[in-house]
Amino acid sequence: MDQTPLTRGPDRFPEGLAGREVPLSSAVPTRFRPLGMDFAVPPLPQLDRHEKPTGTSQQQQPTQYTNDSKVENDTTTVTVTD
Amino acid sequence: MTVLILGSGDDAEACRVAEALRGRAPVVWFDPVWFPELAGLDAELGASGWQARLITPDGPIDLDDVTAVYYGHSRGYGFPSGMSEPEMRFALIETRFGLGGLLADLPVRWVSHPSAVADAEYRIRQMAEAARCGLILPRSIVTTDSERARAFLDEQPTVYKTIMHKVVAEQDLIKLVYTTPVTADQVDDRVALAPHLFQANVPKVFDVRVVVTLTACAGASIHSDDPGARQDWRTDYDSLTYRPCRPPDDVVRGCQSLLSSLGLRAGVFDFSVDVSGVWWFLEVGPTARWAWLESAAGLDLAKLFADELLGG
Repeated sequence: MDQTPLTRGPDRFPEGLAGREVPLSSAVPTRFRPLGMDFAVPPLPQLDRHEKPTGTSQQQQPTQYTNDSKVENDTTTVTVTD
Repeated sequence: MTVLILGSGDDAEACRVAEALRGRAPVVWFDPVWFPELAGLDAELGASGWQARLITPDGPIDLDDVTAVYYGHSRGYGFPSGMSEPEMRFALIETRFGLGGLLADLPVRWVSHPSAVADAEYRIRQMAEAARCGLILPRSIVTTDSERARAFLDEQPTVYKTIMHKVVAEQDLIKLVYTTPVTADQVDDRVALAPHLFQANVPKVFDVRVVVTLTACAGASIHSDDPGARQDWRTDYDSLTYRPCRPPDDVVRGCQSLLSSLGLRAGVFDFSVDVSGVWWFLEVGPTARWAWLESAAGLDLAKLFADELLGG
């Protein structure tokens, strides 16, 4: 399986396109934040069924966490944009 | 002659293409989110390749009967939510390479093939191909050098564009990176932490989004009096007006040459047009949105895709 840093497997075939599935995070900016991220702004609210470019939707995906040494199943929110 | 729509049932573009094919060819759907809970597959290798059948909620699809595939947007696969991460990863990789391998091997008309779509997503590559195909691009740099960036920004009005990653999700907030005017004093050494794409800001009069196939072209000009929307029309849809529009013939030829060089049969092209009438190529999205443009500008774009799927 191709694990090179220049291409990654999920670039191909139906798993969504690269860079369009982003986990919602509570992380805060650090001093290592790439400059381009500073230009991000909140998207306009979507009032109707989204058929236009560059809006967002959120999907739940399974994940796990450890609770007192016991592994529990949970879900995480992934933001998807067109 | 059967057309397979490979995409989500709520993909507006795929729905319109299916509608445009009505009465012209049988249409079958496969939504990857059905797999594996609502769909399955069965295939055996023979001398001529895989004899494969997809099991779907709508019935079986014999892939030998498929003559063309429309590849749209999908929501990924629908694995059981109780799967562990290792189980999910195993199933995902096996499905992507198993189901994906069977589909990618189909020797039919793809609009467009997933591998070509994935390659075309590399914006830096498509920009170079577009230039080689004779399309006119704004002066551009990609750099990790802050001094180089500042010097470039001092030379003309400039915008910052992401190369791919438009979403910033942090501090429990979702943000998007639109095309953003930027000045030299905004640039610091954090340019070194990722490649940054800076592009001369075109003094445009209006934008154009146009669907181009290997044999046809149709689209609309996009106008706004709002300064923000004029910079990037995605920021304020309410301020936009649309008019049907066709690029000059040399631009259409350049677009079709670009499609061929990228291995695509169709693409959604964005241009800015300046006061001199120059058509500045911005980008081509193999699966970019166009459904809303049909309604807004009174266009029949789905027919272009249907024609391409059926061989013109």
